[in-house]
Amino acid sequence: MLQEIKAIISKDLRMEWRQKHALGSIFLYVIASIFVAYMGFKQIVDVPTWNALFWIIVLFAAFNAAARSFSVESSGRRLYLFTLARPESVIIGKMLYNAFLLLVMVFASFAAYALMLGTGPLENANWGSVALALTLGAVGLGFTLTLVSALAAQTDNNLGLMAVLGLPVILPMLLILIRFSKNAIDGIAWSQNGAYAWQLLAISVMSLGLSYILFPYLWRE
Amino acid sequence: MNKYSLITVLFILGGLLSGLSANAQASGDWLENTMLTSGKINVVVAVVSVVFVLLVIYLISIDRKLSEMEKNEIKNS
Amino acid sequence: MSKYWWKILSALLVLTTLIFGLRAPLAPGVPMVSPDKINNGVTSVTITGYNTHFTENPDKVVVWLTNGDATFCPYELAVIDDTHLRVTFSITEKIADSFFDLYVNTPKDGTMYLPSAFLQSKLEVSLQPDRTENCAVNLSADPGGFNYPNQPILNETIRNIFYHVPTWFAMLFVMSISLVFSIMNLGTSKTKYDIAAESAAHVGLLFAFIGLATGSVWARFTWGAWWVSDPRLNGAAIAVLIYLAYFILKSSVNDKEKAARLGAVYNIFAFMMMIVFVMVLPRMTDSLHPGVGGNPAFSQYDLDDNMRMIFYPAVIGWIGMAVWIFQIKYRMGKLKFKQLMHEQI
Repeated sequence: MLQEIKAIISKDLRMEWRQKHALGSIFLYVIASIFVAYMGFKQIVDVPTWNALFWIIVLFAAFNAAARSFSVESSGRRLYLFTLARPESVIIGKMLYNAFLLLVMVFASFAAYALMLGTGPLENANWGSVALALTLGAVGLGFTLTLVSALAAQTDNNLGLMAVLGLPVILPMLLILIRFSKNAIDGIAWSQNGAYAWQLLAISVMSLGLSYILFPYLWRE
Repeated sequence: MNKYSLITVLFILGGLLSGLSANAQASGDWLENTMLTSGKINVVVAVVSVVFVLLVIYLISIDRKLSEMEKNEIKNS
Repeated sequence: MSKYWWKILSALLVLTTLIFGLRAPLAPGVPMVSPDKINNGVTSVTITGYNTHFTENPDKVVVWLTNGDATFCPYELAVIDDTHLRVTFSITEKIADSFFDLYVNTPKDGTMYLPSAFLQSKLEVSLQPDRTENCAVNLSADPGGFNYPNQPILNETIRNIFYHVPTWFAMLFVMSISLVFSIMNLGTSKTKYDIAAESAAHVGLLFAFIGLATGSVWARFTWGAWWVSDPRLNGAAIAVLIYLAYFILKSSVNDKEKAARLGAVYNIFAFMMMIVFVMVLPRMTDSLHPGVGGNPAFSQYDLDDNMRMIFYPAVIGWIGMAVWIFQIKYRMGKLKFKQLMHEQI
């Protein structure tokens, strides 16, 4: 099973590397959004606005990234994968891959965002917590949206349904995430903020477990 | 039939609302005046009415679906 | 008849709770004072009671204010009518807290309490109060029989607990039914389970809308806004969104069997994510809702024994009604499916 997961991740990584335009399009999306925000705001001093806008940009980028994870596979290749690997390995591999992709994207866009819209709100930041928020956010979004993407890929209206199905599922996590990262940026101590991190972790683990159980039912046809 | 029942419900609702507004004082904010006086009892009345009205609307929708099915049944037989 | 007993029972429960919930009086209370400021010097205020009997024993009416540990007594007290008192205070001393709590005690109504009734004005606030008096009597419960607590701001609307809260219980119950049938559908791929899951989700959505609408009306006239940002409300809104998405997903796939499978997977996934949010988060953050912020359920103060006697039957009754509506919807769904099959042949 571990072998299969590793193989799927490396397959996805290599494919992504070969089709640079796909990877590039997501980064372009993020950069373009940040630039639009910059045109609108110039500098954001208010911490809640700064924080919320960042996560909104990341959220939509994550939707774009996750939506591709199943629809890029042609039906022929999907059939081939099906004969090679167990569905459990496929979903775990895809989730880990998505989480990794988002991790890179979130940290890169955080740097770009801070550069463009001002580092003023970050003055008192609790950097350990901020890094944890970014990591947990990327992992949680990647994990949760992977199953939604698998669902949407089975319908005709892939991208539209992705947003409709994904938003209600992701909202609880996003509310906790925004609060956690706002506290982290405000420099609130871990002792008062740690509970949110545990909740985020719990949600991520739960979505991992649920996907593991539910995905085989989507896979069989 | 269904159109008429909907109109009836709307009519009753309108009657209720106009009754409430007739009780209210002449000042502009009749809603506040109605709701916040006599221990806010009218808020309870409003809540119970909302529950009832929504249930009735749901009943109407079920009724319409059932009529449709009956029509199909006649066509099939 | 034996098939209908629980339907009759739940209808009767709803009816009785409706009648008793509206009929029983509110406990006597002092919801309003005007003006709501205590000045440095002499202040005359009018205390408005609700369901009170001040004239029954006018000499025995006792009024006092507390501020920190100190107690202040009026130097003049006049009973105007059953629900109005005219009280004059004379306070020039240092006080410990900016707000005064008001107590009114009568033999018939017991002790009535209005927290933070008055705001001080131009008095010196320091840690050490200068004066305290001794006119307070022992607190006594209202001896008036079966009634509901009279709380400031809520007043009569406390009865909405019987009509608003049970709809949420009913919603959660039918949504759990939907979840169970979704799991059964994944296990067996039987169409009837899919129809059941969809019908239950439909009824759950109905009760979610009822809960949102009634909560909105209630919030407008107690908290002051149709919609407030509150963890409970957010959870409810998310539940509505999830089930709307569920219906969109099911209708966007033409193949019935596939739609059932996708719907079931989404239902289970989304329900689990929502339940974590609804169960965990409200306890961690501040909320306007009672029983939130540490307490898992209604505390003694929010829901007294008299209210429990009506509230729990109301919950059972509404759950029964929801299951009843679900059953009707389910039977219709099965019939419709049969018709569809018939047409295709």
